[in-house]
Amino acid sequence: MKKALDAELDPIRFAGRDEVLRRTTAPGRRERLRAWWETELELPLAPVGAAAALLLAVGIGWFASYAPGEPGEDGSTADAGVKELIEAGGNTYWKDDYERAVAMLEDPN
Amino acid sequence: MKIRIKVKHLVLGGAAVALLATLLATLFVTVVVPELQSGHAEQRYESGEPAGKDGLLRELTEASGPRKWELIEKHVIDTGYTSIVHAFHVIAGPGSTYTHTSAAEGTEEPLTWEERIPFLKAYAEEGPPAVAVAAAAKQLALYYESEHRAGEAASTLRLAADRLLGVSETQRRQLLAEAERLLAAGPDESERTATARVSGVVQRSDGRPMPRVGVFLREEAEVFHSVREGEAYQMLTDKDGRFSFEHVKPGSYQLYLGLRFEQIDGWTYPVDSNEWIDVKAGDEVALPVTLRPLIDIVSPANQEVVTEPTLTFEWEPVEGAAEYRLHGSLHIRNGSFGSILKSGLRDTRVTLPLEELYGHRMGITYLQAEEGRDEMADPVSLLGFSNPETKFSWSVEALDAEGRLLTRSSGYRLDEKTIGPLPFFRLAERELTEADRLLLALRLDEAMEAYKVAAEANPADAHSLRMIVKLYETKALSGEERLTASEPALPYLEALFELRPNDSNAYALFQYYYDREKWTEAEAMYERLRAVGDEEPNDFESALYATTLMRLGKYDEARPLWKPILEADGSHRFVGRYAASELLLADRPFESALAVALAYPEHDLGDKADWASLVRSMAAEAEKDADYVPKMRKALDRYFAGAEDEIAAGGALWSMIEALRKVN
Repeated sequence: MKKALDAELDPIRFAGRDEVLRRTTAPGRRERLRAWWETELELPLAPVGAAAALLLAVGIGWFASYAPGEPGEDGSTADAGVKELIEAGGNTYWKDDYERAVAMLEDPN
Repeated sequence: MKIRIKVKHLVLGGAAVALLATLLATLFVTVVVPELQSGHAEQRYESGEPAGKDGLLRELTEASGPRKWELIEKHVIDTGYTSIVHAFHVIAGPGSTYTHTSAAEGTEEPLTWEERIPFLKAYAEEGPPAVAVAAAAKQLALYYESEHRAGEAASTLRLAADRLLGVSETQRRQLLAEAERLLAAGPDESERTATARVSGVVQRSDGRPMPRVGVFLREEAEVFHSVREGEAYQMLTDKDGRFSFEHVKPGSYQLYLGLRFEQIDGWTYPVDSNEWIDVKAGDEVALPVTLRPLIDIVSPANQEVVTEPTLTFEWEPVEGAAEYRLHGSLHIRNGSFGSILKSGLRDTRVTLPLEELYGHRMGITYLQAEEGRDEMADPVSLLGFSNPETKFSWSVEALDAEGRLLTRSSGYRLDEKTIGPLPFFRLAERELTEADRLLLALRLDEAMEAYKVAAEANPADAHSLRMIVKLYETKALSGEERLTASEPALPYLEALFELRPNDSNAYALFQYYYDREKWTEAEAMYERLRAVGDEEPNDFESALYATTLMRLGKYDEARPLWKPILEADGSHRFVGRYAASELLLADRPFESALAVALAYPEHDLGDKADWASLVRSMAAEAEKDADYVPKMRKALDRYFAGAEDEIAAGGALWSMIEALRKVN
């Protein structure tokens, strides 16, 4: 039986040898890529959660950096700019300037 | 715990998130950020940061669409003025200087007119058709008018009116009416010769012109209230500080200025309260207006307490000053009041004995009636400078060789550099006496007793004598009763004069007799006043003396006194007596009297007479009656002599005498 098979198949060479080898021995880039593509990762939650939170924070921070600043410490919004005048001794002064000057006279320290 | 995720999900998911983030970011940067940044620039401007204004101007130029209009509305239109009347912080003029707005708008640096113009134009031409368009057009028109471009002003208003068709009928009508006014051809020939032109330039004494300052040429009848819409002659100065009013009706005017705080800080508009601009038909009146820096005071200052028997006032010299005038004020509950302490000073310092200040006659204020107490004179005002517990202040004025005001020390002091020393001081050289304390405790009768006891015990006690006189003078509140109530003051007035023979006490006695129409005694007293006084009489004192002489029938002696009095006193309140003097003595009585009446029109607050027309009416009557002049002179003489029942007069002569009765 075997002699008969050998004689029949003799002219036929196995051409796909390389192919088979290729496909069966080293998986090859594509295979590896595909395999890798389908890999299931197991990630510990805590670091992943932290990393995601960090990314989110950075993102928000970047947006926020374009937000307008808070009003200055001196409270200089339009309202606070209203000053009063006072008449004293024939002169007209800003009330806060005058009170400051008087206070300095009363307590020269 | 673990998360199980396939790499492909992680990668694809991550890519999707990254894409979304990039899209969002791009959107953010191109749309949201510019919005925020302009808000940011706006905020920096509003908080008064130094480069804030440049940032805002850039913003205004670069912005577009609704944001641009919003910015213009808020920072250009709303902070501007459609009417000159409200465009200034301070209105300064002869009658008063007052603050129109009591607060600064904020810490923002205001935009100049030149900075506003392009944005106002853009808004007027392309902004959303609403009231703000009208406001922008009006502001532009104000500017153009001040730059003598009335045509442009009118067309701006017309354009805005067209844009508001169907939007606001009221605004349209206002805009068109204003455009009409701007384009109105001048009055016709006949009217033109009947009007005058008043022009000038507003500048500082250092030569710097004041552009865009408000100039208000105010009619006599309007002067006694604050500046209002509808007053005829108002405009802004142009870029060189020039202004001109065409077609001004003849009459008497006063010139007021509208200024911003930064323009008046440390400076003053030196105009006398009685300065009037008399305009006649065909006149070309040139009015240079010069602001001068405030005088810096040296001492006393900063609540100095004086314990020496003299006080030296000192201040910085003023270029061109021929003399100085010192004012002192008392500070009481709700305000202060003052008077001239000394005039005709040549130097920039003067030393006064405190005794002189103690004897200084100030005004009296009154305390309102309260539970269990009638209205009465305020003891603090009665004590005046004699009170060690009162706060005083002072100021000084500089006059030129013609007696015109050059500058003064009181004004707006709004900056570190301009605040200067505070002009306050106290006098602690004397102590309050028992009688003083009773007075301050409002126990007037007891105080009077105590003063009398003290005066008797010590004949050299000038203070007690002064207080006794003041208490008598303020016993009664109304005119009639006051004369009777204050009669007992006479011996004390005389004692005081003997003890201190000075101007103040002599004048008090003169006034005592004058008020009681005791003309002979008054004349005698006035001569003593001249003998002891070291100061020239002021125009008011001189006028009372001239009146005294006329009352005594000494018309010739009185006559030459009137002209200098009328020259010095801008209110011309005594012109009636001057005219009467001419009617009595002049060779051509009506001619001379009329000349006087026309040269010195009366500018008084209340009742004032039209002396020119009275004289003309009498002249007309005289034409029909050959004996008119002697009859008139007799009637006037009887009036001055106080012989009421002997006055034979009717018609215009009667009106003249009635008008003379009201002179004061």
